[in-house]
Amino acid sequence: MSAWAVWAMAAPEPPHGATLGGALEMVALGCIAVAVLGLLLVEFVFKSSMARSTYRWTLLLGLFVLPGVALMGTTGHMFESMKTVEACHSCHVMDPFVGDMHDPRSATLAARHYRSGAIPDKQCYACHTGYGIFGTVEAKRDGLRHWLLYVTDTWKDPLTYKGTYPNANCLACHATAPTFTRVDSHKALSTQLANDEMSCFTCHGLPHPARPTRAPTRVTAHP
Amino acid sequence: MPSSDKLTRAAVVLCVVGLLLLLPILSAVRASFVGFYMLGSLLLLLSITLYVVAVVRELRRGGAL
Repeated sequence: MSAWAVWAMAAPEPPHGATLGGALEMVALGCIAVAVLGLLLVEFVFKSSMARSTYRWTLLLGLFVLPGVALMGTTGHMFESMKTVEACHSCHVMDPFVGDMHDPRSATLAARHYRSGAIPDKQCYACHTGYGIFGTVEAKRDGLRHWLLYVTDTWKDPLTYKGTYPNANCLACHATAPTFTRVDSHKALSTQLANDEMSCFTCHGLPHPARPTRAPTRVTAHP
Repeated sequence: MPSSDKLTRAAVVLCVVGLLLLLPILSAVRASFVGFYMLGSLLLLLSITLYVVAVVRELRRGGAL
């Protein structure tokens, strides 16, 4: 059995039981159901038989309070769901990256981290730390831009990454790990690595398949 | 300008549609469902605006404002 397989088996089990995402989903579903039913009944069935003040208070509840809670629950649930690889993979542009990650023969950094269980709960944002509900503004802006390009089918192949990948994403886990701190070259380059003057990928290779080795993300009639 | 009752009814309809548009994102995260979620949020905002306008108009007519 390979060392990677042994490491993967030693990885902690994901927590069982109720999740925050599941609880928010229930809250949102309940609020939506009560609000929709209540609003329809009050406006279209009982309006004429209700006192004006009761009608107003009911509308206040149905138009402000319940939708507000439903929106918060939905937003929270959405952000919780988006932590999973499945959520990232729901856009087929991600196929080459997720496919590589699931490839047992792949030697890319992402695949090795995924196999080893070093990525908790198999989350992409374990390395892409800018994402998540309290992620950076830049990540939210880029996420919205990428979503718009995807739904309007206006992205350009081949995909290219124009930004920089901060070393802090790697150092968040590795900075204090003995396997990192024991290496002499890491000690020698610690300042450059901390200041992003040198990328981790310079020595360790790209985390995902390089452009020439991955399939196009869109099937074109005239390649 | 439509009456306060019509504005309120429009607010209720928009709110109901907006709430229903939030439902798909609760089942799965898909690019199109995110679009429904954003449209639903927009409709909820619009319904609240309509309702506020309706209440203000009614208060003005009653002399409270």
